[in-house]
This record gives sequence, C-alpha cells and structure tokens, in this order.
Amino acid sequence: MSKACPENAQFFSCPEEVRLEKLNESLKRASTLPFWREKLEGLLPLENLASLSALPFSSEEDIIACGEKLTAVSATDIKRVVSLRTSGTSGRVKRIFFTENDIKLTRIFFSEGMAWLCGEGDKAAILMPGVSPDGLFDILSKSLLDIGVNVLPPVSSVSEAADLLSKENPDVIIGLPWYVRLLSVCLPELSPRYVLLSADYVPRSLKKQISENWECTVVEHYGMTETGYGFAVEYPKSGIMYPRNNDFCFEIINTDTFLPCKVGEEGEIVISSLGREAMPLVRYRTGDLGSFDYKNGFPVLIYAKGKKAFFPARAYEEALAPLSFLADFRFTDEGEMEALILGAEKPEYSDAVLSALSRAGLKLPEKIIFCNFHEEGKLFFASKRSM
Amino acid sequence: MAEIIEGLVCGKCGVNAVKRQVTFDYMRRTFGHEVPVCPKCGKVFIAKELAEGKMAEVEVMLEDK
Repeated sequence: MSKACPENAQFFSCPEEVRLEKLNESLKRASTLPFWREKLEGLLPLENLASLSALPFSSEEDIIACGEKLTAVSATDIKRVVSLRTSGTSGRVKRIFFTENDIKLTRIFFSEGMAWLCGEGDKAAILMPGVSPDGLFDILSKSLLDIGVNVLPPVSSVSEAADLLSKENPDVIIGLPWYVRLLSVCLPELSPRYVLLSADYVPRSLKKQISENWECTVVEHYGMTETGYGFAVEYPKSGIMYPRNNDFCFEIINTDTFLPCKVGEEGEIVISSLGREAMPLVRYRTGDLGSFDYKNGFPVLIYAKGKKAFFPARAYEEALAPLSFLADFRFTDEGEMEALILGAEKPEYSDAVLSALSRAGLKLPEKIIFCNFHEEGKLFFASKRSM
Repeated sequence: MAEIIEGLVCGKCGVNAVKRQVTFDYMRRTFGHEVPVCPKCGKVFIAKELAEGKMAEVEVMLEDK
C-alpha cells in the first residue's frame, strides 16, 4: 500500500490538462443557466487555466438571491441541501445544493486527507455539527470508516465531549479551535496524536497551546459549505494547505484591483469548481484572505485567515488564547468584555487579560465581567466567526 | 368521512380531491399535514402557497450543516 502523503493524494496531484478539461466542462454546464448564459457568452472554452481570470465573479449575494436557479441538475438529482442563515439581516438564507456525486467527491477528499493523520484501528472524535444525513459529521465519519478508523459517537455539549474524551482518549480529535482548546486545558491527561482544527480562524497562539497541552501535532483545515465542506488540509508539520486540485481551481486576487496576485502575495481566495454537478461555482469570491505557492508543480494554499472584516477580533483571539483560565470571551456593544472563566474568579485575572491586550497593542475594554463557565454551562463562541 | 374539495379534480381519475392527513419525510424526519388527495389513486396535491410557505420554512430548518 502506498504511503498516505500529498503526492499520492488523488485530490491534490491533478495534472493541469485534466483540470482544464474539467473546468471547461463545468463552465459549459454553468453556461446553460440563465444566470451565467450572457455572462459567459463568447468566453468559452478557456485555452488555459490562467484565462479563468477573464471571467466574471460570483458571490454569496448571488447564491442568496438566486438559490436553486444556480443548480445545473434536475431537482430529483439533488441529494442534499444545506441552508445557512447569513449573519445580520434576518430571513436571508444561503442554500447550497449537492448531488450524490458531489458528496462522494468530498468523502474521497476527507478520506485521503484524514489518512495523513490516522488509519486502521485508530479512534477519532469528531466534535463538529452535522449528524443529519450527508451533514458534515455524517460525511466525515463515513470517510474515516472508509480508512478503517473507529469514530466515536457525536456529542451535543462541551460536558458530553469531555466525558467522551476522558473515557475513550482518542488518537485524533477534530473540532472548532476554541472548543478543542478548552478541552485541552480541562483534560491535559489526554494524549491524541493529532488534532485537526476546522470551520474557523485558528490563532497561532491557540495552535501552539493545544500542541503543548497534549504534546500532539495540530493541523488545520480550510473549507466552507460552498465547497462541499472541505477544500484544503494541512499536511502535518509542513505548514502548507493542500487543496482539492482535482475538484476546484482557486485564485488569489488583489482586493483593490481584482487582478490575480503573485506567489506569496496576500489576496482574496476565489474558487471555481471542476467536477461539481449540482451547483457549479464560477470564480466564487469567498471573502477569505490567503496566499498561494506551488508544490511539485501543483498549487497549494499557504494560509487562509478568514474574512478581513473580522481581523480586529482575530488580534484579540491571538492575544487571549494563551490565557488558560479563559474559556471564551466576547465584547458587548458598550465596549465591555465578558470573559468566561474556568473556576472561581481570582484577582490576578483582570491584570492578566489587560496585560495580554496591552502587549498586543490592542484597545482595552471599558470593563471586564467575569462569568463562571461551569455555572453558565455554555460557551459564547464569540470567536466563532464565519470563515 | 373525508371532506370533499369542490373544484379540485384529479386529472388522471376525474374525481374530486378530499382532505387527508399525509405524512411527509425529509432528512430522516417525518411530519403530518392535511392536504388534498385523490381518493382513487392517492396522488397528493401541494398548493403553491404551501410549497413556498410552510414547507419551504421546514425544509430550511432541517437542512443543517
């Protein structure tokens, strides 16, 4: 059996000519839709992948406004729909459609990517939502079963997660950054080999903290529902995110000029789908920032750090993650900081928060209100911001 | 006796639809609703308002990540 690594991953090592052929097929499919017909007229087929930059963009707004009009298959071929309420305006729903094959492609990606972290006989805990059919938990657990990994049952609260992890001590833990961080603070006796963080921005300090608490390797995954939950995963210790080149083309564009960025330059991540059946993505502006490079001739993501609008909050997360007495935090509209702490409040906590923020050069809160995490029984997940 | 709906005739059987409790399945959940049904062939009629209203609302609620 060949070694599980990026070079052997079907999702990553896809030759350019194959990608171009798939891209043109996908664009042809999209061009049959009224939304794309005029926009793509006279521009297809593309002669090379670089000429993708001549096509118009699409955005989250288009998906919200057009919904199922952006689907390129009949309703009976839709296997799963994910409806996401967008933040802010109430009642606005973003619906993403998948066929059985779209789901299968995600499952292949998850299996190959997870094989870098675990294999036959290992135990994995998935602390993520989506237990319904073809939801995130469901697909990921099937992908793990495909490679012989035993998946622990889903949990619905932090205390349930803590009980399960204490009992099972899994080899791999998959979850949201602040959620897993909290568990690593509360349960230092666990010994996972790997932790995979996903679905949110991962502060560097938080990654280091989990890695030290459990003496494990922490890797990141970047994806969104629009890409069928998964898009790029970090190979352990490489610091590089390997994207699904077999299923998508990504570009990094300058957010002022909208022109393609050069290697290493930061810009917005724009994604076009290759094999997607239900809802082909054409130059979809994710709103997330990142940069790219090449590895063995194939494009890789160097990092993805989420939406620009959330950057001030990111700096607070980066500064406060190392404070192990802190479970979570959020800011009120009045500029007060609510801090969820583990155990009883101690006089030095306030100073610790203020000095961490001062050191990072951040604006200090008007007031800090400490609440006991165990009494509140919930996390704010103020840090859970759309990514 | 099921309530007969005047003016709503099954195109295939030519008989008036009746109101009947029907069970809907979606995302491994089931729920019941009273809708017009052909008493002969059992074909269900879903009004546009129901499809775009209540049904769409429930679908969105169930279509989690």
